[in-house]
Amino acid sequence: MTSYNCLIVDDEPIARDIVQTYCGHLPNLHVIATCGNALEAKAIMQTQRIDILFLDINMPVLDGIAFLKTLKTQPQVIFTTAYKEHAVDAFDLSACDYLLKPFSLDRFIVAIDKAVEKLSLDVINTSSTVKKDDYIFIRFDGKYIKFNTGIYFMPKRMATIPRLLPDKA
Amino acid sequence: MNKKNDQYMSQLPDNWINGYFGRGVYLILSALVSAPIYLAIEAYVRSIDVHKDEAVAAVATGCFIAGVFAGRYIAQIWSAGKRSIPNTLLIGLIILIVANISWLFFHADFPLEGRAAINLLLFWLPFVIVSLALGILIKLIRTVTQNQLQEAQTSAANSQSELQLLQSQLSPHFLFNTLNNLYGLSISQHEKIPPLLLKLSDLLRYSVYDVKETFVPLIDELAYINNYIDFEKIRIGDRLELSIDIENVVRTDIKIAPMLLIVFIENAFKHSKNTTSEKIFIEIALKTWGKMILFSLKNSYNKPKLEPANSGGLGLENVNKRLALLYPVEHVLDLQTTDDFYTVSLQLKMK
Repeated sequence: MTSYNCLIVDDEPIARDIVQTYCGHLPNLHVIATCGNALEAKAIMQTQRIDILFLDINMPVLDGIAFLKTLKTQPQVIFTTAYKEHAVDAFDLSACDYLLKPFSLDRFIVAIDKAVEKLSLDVINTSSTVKKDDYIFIRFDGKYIKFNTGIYFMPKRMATIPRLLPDKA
Repeated sequence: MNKKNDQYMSQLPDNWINGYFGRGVYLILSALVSAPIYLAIEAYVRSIDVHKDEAVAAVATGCFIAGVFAGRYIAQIWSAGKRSIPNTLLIGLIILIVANISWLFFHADFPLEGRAAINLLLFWLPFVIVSLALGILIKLIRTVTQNQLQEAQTSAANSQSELQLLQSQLSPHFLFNTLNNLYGLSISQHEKIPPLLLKLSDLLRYSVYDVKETFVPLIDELAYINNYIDFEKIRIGDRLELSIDIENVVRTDIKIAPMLLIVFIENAFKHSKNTTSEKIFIEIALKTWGKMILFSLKNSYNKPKLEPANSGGLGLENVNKRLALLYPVEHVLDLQTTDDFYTVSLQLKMK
């Protein structure tokens, strides 16, 4: 089973504990660290590869949204916040999911599944093991889109796929 | 305000007899004033040597009262729907009345010799004018005072609703973060939950129900503040270095505007949290002294580099407005900022 590195960023200790406890329930999640502000998180991300980032929005000095904008390579981001207002901003930054505090373990697992799904897509994207003339199926907007890897360049971001396709597959 | 308007509208006539005499109380009033008017006219009539002076005086009194009502009716129709009555009109009416009464007396002493009909006209015309003008004047003055009363009531209602708007409420962000903390504790340290839930209910009950009063007992406000601080302690955890010196108030007759001090405390937590430093320092002190409530607060913070230094935010602006409305010249507020600390000192008169 693939293991994913997680980082928890929240200024409230109990909120961090909740996410950490939830992560403990899922064996494939490995919590690298928990931090109380975005600057600490930035320092950790410079030294380690992070796959899934749990990010609070309202944090001291640098808030979650601004922090995410400073990252060159984005991990899968799951916002955990009591603030409903920022959801649009969050999805503009292609956040993976948005959890409103307090959230249940079930809801947390749904978010993790989304992140893992996206991460496994990225693995296919970046790996060079895909042979020419292989097909890749990508679920997009509820439908499966078939790609012939020999013809299409695989875009890094899902958002650019529809523009690269000729017509509906 | 609409209700006031309805009341006002319902005073307007639905048929002309009601419109002419107005409320029944006016008839009683006019019966009362007709006695002195009768005496005055009788004395006047006797002075100009009229025969049957009593009968003439009685008729004249009746005419006078009818004239006053007619004047009132005219003014009522004219002023309906008018928001303001010019003062010059009122003064003009007073001058007209005084001039006509003067004329009546002047004419009584210097009648035109041998011209009975013209003399009669020169008596009756000013007499009718006086009665009409008096009726108009009374009605207009009443309308003016009613309008003023209505304006005063409207502005009172406005400042009341403004006060309610300015009043700070329990912030939803605080509430949801606190619920999240309770949720977290219920997983790991569930034995801590029951007392905290009771505190949260107290907090909510106070902020939903009690704050509708303009002034509440200080003891209740302090209980709210203590509960609030307890939850902030849980939210922040080890970073917080808190020193509280709040006097244990036992008297229930000391009153204060609700949710006033809490705005400063909320700000202190909000701004002192907004640093990356290891520790957060907050000092809160409250004392009662004579007729005064003395409140002081000090918190660590990072001076914002981009925002202007005096941006206390909306909360502080509202507090200033509330203080001005509720404690005019009864409060002293002093805010100071240094590089590392923000201090508030507030003195309020007890209510």
